[in-house]
Amino acid sequence: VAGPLCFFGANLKHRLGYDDALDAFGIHGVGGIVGTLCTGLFASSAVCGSNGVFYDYSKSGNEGRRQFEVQLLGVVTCTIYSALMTALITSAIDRSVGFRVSPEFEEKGLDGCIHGETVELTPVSLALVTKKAVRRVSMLLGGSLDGSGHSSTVSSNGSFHNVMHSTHNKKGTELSPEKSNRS
Amino acid sequence: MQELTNAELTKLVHQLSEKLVILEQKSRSLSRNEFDSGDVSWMLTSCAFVLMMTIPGLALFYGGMSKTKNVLTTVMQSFSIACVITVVWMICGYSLAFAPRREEDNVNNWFIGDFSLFWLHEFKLDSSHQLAPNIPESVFCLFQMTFAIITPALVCGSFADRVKYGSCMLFVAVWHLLVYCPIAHWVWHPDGFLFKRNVLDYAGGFPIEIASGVSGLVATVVIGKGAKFGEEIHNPHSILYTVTGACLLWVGWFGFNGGSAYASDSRAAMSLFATQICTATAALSWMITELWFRKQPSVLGTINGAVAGLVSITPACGYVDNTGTALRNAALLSDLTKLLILILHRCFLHWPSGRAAMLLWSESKAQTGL
Repeated sequence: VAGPLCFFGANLKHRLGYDDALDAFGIHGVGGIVGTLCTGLFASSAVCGSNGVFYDYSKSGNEGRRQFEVQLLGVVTCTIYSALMTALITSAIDRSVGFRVSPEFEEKGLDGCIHGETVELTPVSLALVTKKAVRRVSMLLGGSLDGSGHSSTVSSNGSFHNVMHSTHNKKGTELSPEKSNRS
Repeated sequence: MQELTNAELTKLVHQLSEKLVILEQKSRSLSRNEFDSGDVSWMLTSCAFVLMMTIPGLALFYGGMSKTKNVLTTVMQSFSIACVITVVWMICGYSLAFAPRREEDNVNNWFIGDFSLFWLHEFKLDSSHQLAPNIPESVFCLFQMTFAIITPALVCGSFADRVKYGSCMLFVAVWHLLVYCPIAHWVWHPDGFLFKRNVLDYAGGFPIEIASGVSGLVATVVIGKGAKFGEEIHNPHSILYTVTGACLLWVGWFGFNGGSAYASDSRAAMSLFATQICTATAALSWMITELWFRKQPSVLGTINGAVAGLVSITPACGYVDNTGTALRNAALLSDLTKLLILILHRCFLHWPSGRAAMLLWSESKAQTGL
């Protein structure tokens, strides 16, 4: 039952127009509700001490129905409670510190904007890389423009500092250890 | 009849008393380690399995489904949730959900526990929880902790691609304390009001699946749609990651459901059996439904069907015995459902067949030019 029901549960998002990005409700909400209700239908006293509707062999048939009603009660209370509390918490966070990222971030992607890392070259990561490259080149240019003759290819952060250091020192004639390694 | 001499009698008494001393020592050591080693080892394994469901299972599952520009955010959220909830659970979450019932004070904790286990200060090496007397409390707490970790990680799947990182972590901690802990208390703790009504929830249908699903839905409604929802083709970053994550979920679910017996017994074995059967049937039936409407069985759809099966068997797998019968009934019902939906489809809804595709909806819209 679960497969088809969740299939349509997941499709609901397009029909009702809510954006459940990765189908948490379609799969877990619908699947959980179906599962707990079916527990009331299929439970067997051979395993757990109470019978579901389809395993109820008592004459009145009340035992199974009672179990199903309890499951239904649980589903209703849990749904209402978690819906209310979540609405409260999310709107509280939304109004105090803000929940959502800016549209600009959302457009560019959160990986680069929030964590500063990306899995592949997207415009944002490209921009990050370019920014770094521009900074390096300008530093190097600054060094060479100073006439210190230290415009070498930067191989590591160490040589960076050397360039900076010598530029500020105005004793550009001193050779840094990296100088010999320049390409 | 041979009579015992005095010396022989003394010797016998001496031997007996020696044996008694040994017996007493043995019984003492038994009472110190009264836990069943088989149960403890299975529960420890289950803890690892359930943690594996969140990281890397769910992280990969969701990460692969999200857009390439948001993959790391999604994975990072799952990973950080594992860290945040561990700490919150240690500080007061465990106490709020599972604080032991105290006979002396007649407080009716039907709604939520108390702070009596704040910072787990009453933990001892050999203490156990009343729900699982055969395993140490540390194992019980750890197992429940892994459950508490995966639940908010599921919620975040609904809005992973458009929330601030800090706000998300704040939401997770507050949600854990205000939603997860009370519902877990209702359903599993002997004082909870649903437990007293003999509600059947084997491995977390209420606190985990329903709570996370409904909360995810409500949170998306409050937060709002993604910027280009329905306009832009949703390209999953890597379906391969999603498949890997779903497989990890399936395997990890064995610990999730099998561990909820709190013992390595026939019930745990039966629940594993039911888990496997239900997952396979759900995946197949989703596949067939999709084949019917879209003419193609998609990978994403099939693994989503498997996860749906895992979810729906979670509350039940400890309670169903004749899985063959359950399976038959399920298959019958699923046919009926399909038939019903087909009739609805023909009569009222007029869904374009492409629209039934789950994540590929926009793509098929582009193809059919609707």
